[in-house]
Amino acid sequence: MAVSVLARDELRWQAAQERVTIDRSCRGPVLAFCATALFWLLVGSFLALVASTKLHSPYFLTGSPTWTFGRVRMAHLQAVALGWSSLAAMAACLWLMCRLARVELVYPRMLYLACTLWNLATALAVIGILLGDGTSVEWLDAPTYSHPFFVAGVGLVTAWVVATFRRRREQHVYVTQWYILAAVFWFPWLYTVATLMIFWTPATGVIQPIVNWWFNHNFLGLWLTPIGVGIAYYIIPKILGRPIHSYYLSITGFWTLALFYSWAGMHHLIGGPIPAWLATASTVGSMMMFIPVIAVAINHHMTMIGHFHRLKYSPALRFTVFGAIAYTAVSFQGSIESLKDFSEVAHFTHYTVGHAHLGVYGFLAMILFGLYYYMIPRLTGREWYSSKLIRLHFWCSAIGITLYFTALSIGGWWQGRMLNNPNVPFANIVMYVQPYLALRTVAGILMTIGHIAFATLFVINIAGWGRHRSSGPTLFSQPPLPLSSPWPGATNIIGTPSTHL
Amino acid sequence: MNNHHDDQDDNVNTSRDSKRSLLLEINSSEAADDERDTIQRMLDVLAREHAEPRDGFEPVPFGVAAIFGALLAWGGYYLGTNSADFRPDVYDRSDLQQISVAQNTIGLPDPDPQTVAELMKIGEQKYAAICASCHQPNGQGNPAQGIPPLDGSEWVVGDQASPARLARILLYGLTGSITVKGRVYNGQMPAQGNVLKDYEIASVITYIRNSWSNSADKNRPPAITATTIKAARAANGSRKTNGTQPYTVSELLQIPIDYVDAGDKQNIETPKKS
Amino acid sequence: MDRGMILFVGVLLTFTSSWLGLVLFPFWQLQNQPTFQAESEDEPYPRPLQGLAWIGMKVYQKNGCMYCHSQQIRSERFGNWWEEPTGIMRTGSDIRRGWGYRRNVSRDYIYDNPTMLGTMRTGPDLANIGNRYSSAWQHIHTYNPRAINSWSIMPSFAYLYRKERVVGARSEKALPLGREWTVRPGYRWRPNPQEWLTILQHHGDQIKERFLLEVGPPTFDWNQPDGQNLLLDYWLTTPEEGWQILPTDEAEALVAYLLSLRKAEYPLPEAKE
Repeated sequence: MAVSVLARDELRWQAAQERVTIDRSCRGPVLAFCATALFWLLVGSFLALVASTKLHSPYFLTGSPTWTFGRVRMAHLQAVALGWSSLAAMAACLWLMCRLARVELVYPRMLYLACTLWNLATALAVIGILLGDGTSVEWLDAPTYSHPFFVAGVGLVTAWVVATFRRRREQHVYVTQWYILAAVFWFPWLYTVATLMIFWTPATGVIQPIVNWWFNHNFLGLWLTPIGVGIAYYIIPKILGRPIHSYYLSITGFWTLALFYSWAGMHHLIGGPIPAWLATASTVGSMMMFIPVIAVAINHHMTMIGHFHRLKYSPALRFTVFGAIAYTAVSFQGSIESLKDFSEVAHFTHYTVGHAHLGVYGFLAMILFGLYYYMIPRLTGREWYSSKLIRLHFWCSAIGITLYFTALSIGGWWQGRMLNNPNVPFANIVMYVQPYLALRTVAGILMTIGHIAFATLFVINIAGWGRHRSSGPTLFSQPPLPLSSPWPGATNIIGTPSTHL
Repeated sequence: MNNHHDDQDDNVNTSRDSKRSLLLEINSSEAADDERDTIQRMLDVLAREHAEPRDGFEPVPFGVAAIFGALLAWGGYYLGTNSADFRPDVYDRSDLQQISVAQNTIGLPDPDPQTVAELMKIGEQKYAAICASCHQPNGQGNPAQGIPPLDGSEWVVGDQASPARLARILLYGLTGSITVKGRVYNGQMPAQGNVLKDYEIASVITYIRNSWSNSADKNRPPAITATTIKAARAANGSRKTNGTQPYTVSELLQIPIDYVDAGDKQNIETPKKS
Repeated sequence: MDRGMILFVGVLLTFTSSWLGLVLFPFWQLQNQPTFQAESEDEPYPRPLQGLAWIGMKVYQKNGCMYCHSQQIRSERFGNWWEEPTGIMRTGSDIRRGWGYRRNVSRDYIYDNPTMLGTMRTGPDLANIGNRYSSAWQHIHTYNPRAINSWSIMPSFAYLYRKERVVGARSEKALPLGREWTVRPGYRWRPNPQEWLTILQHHGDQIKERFLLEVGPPTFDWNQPDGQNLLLDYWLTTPEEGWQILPTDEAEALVAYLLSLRKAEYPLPEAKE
């Protein structure tokens, strides 16, 4: 028995050693993506506050064309969607692919180039929009001169992911890798087709919004969502040390997402000047999304079951599980919202904005935060400096997004009901919705405070001022010891604290 | 830990060496680190992380599969019945004809209020929704922008007002210059004939004639009801109510004050200034 | 699924289905829609934007107007409400609101590039706005929406206007606004009580003369503070001496574009309910 224990010990050591090598090789490029992503998160938060304030205090920063609402709103979206979300998602792709394929990161210069190109593109987008080159095409508001840089950036990342996958040492392809491979394959295709058909060889009339919303919804559903779900599929079982509940549900979830999510885009145009069959097809696609979302929810939930108490301790787990629960909620909401009766009320209102932010923030950003909290110490060798700041970040973000979503959902729903009643003067609708918009600004301030706390922690960690990792992970609170043994009869071999967090 | 490994054979020594070399590697790379950690703690760091995640193989629960199947069936049915054969020129799904809401409006007769109070109630809502942004809630208009007042206007309750003329202004719009209360206005009144139904136009006209300082229909039945508007539409035949064929003041002046469209009721007194 | 090829083929096929179904197929269906030519009309419908209106469309695009204003009228069957006096459920609220005479269809947009359908109605739908408001209204509203609607949250676009000295006679294009809107373009100005007293000291007589001329004998005592406030309210509505607000070319273009927006007016055969 002692011998078999030692053999397992040896395997664990080999695996741990491998992970250290992988992490060390990943360090430069992944941190580059992470740092620049965080920069855009701060820029995007600032722009968001400006835009939100203008909606209830229209004289705020009035008078200058650069800061007019339309431009700030376009710039905000580019900064958070193309800047923060995409760069952080790419960081996730790099690290998770290396970890799961069990290979070191190669071609780092390719990745540095990709990071530079993408950041340059985002900067061109944000500054170009504020200076007056916005395109008023939703999610593709960036000026056309930024397009080549976006395409080149993501093209390099895609090529790298495929090359790394082909070099894999781990024969078994885990769920997260399917999602990453799919996402990096779909996104360049989406982007190229959409920009070609809207800008470079514009299609006539109503085909533009059709292609536009096909792109927009798939940006969410085939680029950001798969990576977010993939991260959750990695973090939850990894931290818990348990297997994912059901491989069959993973397969179901992945393929139904691939098939149905891409058809849902036209639900943004229900009631609009598009042929009826397009709206119907999208309603069906959106409702079918219940299938992958339920599959993923069961997988995550059943993996977590019996271990929810771990949420008290682990920041990474808490952020990720928050995001996973938000994913289920926002997807269910979205599926219902695509039915005609709901769309009739919610379309054109702030309700949709609340839904969108529950998705990109409540789901994706929270999961990305979870990934950062897990990944960064492994890359830098430094633990997070202050558990208090992590707690501040979490509660500001969680309360912020909850307040945001609740305020805009209530306000937006009644806005929609009133819009549908022609006897209600438009003035009444605008005045009614004001307090909810003000609440949104309050929520945004909370979220921004959380981001500043997060950025502070990140800078401290990168600068090497944090504690060394051997002193134990930075947790919300200390779990009772020992939490679990690595294996039976091994209480002294590895020693305490055996907190596998 | 050292105790345990002392009585082992070479296998362990090799692993111990690799651990040591790994340790040295790590220690030397953390050059700025003050803490000289014990071997124990360094190894803890590496070992506390679990292995990479793996798959479990629980089956898909039957109930869940049943739900999936039901959703797919619904999806197929919905797609089949609401696609209008995938035609590009049908913009509404055919299911919309089945909803009772649509049936409630198709085929049901429009209301036809006959009292001033009923007309005022509808008219007030319509005025606030459509007219007030130009003519102002207080009926004063906006002279600077060529929008005449309605309060005390001779075209509403004065010597230039008549049901036939008011109906036409609302139905077809008004263009050119008009003199109201001694001042010339050069605006453009949009047509409401396509936007409002007859009873709604009658309601709005009754409202403006009986609000603020106007009280044309005080203590008498309303001068203008849906019938008036309908008669005016009929009298003008093919004249478009979409704003492309507005009336001008000279055209209005050609309609005598006491002129009544065929089909309108005959109880018209010449409206007096309040 | 440990083989990359299975993954690749599956991912390719599922995505291709949506690309074919939502992009290529509608493209083939809707690409070559002809304009509509009625026998009684001279011009086909729709017509492409010309000249100033086209530039105005660019101004609209660059300033992100679409993010608050949609340009699509929904069908008679969308938008339900309970009608108060009658208790009947009605539909067709977009049209009943006066936002358009009929629903929009794809043919209305064949000359739009970019097609700014919009998905937010923070502000009203603009598909048919050219029919509802005059150019004078549009200029004032664009300059500072609160000059017309005190409740409005639309931004002031005063940067599309310039404040100039009046040389000779006031320009015909000058916006007819009182000084409360022109002293600080884009904002609403009101002097604080101290400033107002100073102004009264220097110009009080002229202001009162003008009041008598334009309004008539005052119904309040303008030597009391309450009366002075009312006098201030009046004075703020008078134009600022020697200054005028003129639209720049961009503002003229934008208003020309807004006036050209008459997308829900011309009857089209496929727009029947």
